[in-house]
Amino acid sequence: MRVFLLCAGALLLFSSLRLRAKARTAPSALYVASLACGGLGLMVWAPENSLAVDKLLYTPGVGHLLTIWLISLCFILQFAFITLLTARCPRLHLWAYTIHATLLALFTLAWIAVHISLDGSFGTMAYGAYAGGPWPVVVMDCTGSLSIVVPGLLGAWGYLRFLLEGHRLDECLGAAGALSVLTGAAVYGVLILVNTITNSLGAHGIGLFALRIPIILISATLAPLTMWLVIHLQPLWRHLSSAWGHGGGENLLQREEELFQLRLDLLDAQAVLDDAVARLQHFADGPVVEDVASRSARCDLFPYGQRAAIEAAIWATAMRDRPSWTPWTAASAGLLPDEIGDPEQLSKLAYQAHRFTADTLRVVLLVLGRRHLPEGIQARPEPPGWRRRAAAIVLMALRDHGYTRAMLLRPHSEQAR
Amino acid sequence: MQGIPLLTPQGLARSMCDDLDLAPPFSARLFADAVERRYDLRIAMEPWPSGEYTTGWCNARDSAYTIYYYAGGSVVQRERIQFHELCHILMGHLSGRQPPVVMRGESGSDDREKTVEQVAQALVAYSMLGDSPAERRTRESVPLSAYGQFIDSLLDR
Repeated sequence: MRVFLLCAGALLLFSSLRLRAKARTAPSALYVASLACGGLGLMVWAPENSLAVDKLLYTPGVGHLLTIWLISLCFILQFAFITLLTARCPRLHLWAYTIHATLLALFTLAWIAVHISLDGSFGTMAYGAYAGGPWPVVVMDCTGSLSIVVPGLLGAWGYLRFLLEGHRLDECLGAAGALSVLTGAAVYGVLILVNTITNSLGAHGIGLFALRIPIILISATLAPLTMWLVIHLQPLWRHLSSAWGHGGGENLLQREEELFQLRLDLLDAQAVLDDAVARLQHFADGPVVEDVASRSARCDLFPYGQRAAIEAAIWATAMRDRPSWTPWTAASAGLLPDEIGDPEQLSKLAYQAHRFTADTLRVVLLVLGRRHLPEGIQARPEPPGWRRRAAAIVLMALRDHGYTRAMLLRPHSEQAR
Repeated sequence: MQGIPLLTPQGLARSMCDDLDLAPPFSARLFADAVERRYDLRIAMEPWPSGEYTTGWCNARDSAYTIYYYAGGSVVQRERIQFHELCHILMGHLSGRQPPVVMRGESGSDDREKTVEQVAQALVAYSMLGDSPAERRTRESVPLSAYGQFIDSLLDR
């Protein structure tokens, strides 16, 4: 057992050293730190090694303290890693870390109490298979096992959620390996807890603690097995799938079609962006648009409303040059706002067009005001809400830059005259 | 051109290219060269001198055409403007017999502009990306290196 734990610990430590160069992101750093803690914890876990650490540091029981701390940190770091990866429940994180810190603090206090009360016999009592004993030892064993069980279960929950979300096969296999280790450790912690309590109550020999060996063996086997499957089974499966022609060709064609469509969409997006930039640079009034952007950011307008306000400012100030402005969107989006001559078409655009276009149009109509709308256009009454606030921001910016509502629809050339 | 209905922008774009014996990848300049050869015309393409924003302008004088385009945007936008004006020439909206200066929005109805713009959009997609994978299976494939050279030539211009 000692050799097995030493080898497993050394392997984990080696893995963390190998991965440390890649630990540039927070999840990677957490994962590497977890592996390092786990590796060191496994190496100190064997009672002979714990006693060796005790002798080395001239402190009885410090090996046990280190084991619980390192294994517990390994598990909570795994929990932090997997929940950060899936961005789940920040509120739960706070609770989890608080409970974990409390348990570790209680364990450490109990350990100090045991250290003071037992001193030299610490090693015999602490490494005595959780056979109960004086109450400081019982408290230390209970809090120590809970320090393993709680982060172990939290980590297992995180990995289970990850698995249920349905990721790639190799990621799922890796998660299954971690899940097996964390669950096995949590069950092992529960066994310690039960054994400690039953022994301290005098109910010796219920035999549950004997289960620890198969549990350790099962979880210790599952982790490398899943890694082996990740490394070897997936390429084998791919090879067999392509050999048997299990939809591989069809999937490839489907992927090709999707990629082609994506490239077409990117070309269109590029054209729309070019037009928007040119429109802003050559027709819209840049200072007004910038003013609206800064005002809407200062007000309590949410990001979508800010975008609509900025777009409305561009529309409002670009309208003056409409005759020479034929944007690309004319080909794909159909009617332009000021091409609409009757309320039915306006209503159709407002309710069938892209939501953003419709919202921007409603803000622009508010900016123009009913009295200044071109003949034939009748705006519906706008209920109080963010569009009114956006329109007010645009109007304020326009007025501060010397615009009146009547000027917005008048071409530059007429204004010059 | 199996699978693409002729009376769609994509169908029109493809029939133009087939008529000019052009296979992707090609630029608007190569397209113009092919139009010159096929119809015995001269087509010059120049940036709009003042730098002002216009989506395109074509000056027609006898069999010589000058296309002015907005050069302040990206390669995609420039190609699209040039294809748009080339479509006007190919679709017979401009000819040397018309008044010498014709500008978008003045040469015809908005519907015609929209149709031309949709064909230009299809031409840009076809010239840069070629056939869709489904179509490509029925046509002879172009070496991948040709696309690299094409992109380099566009960026160098």
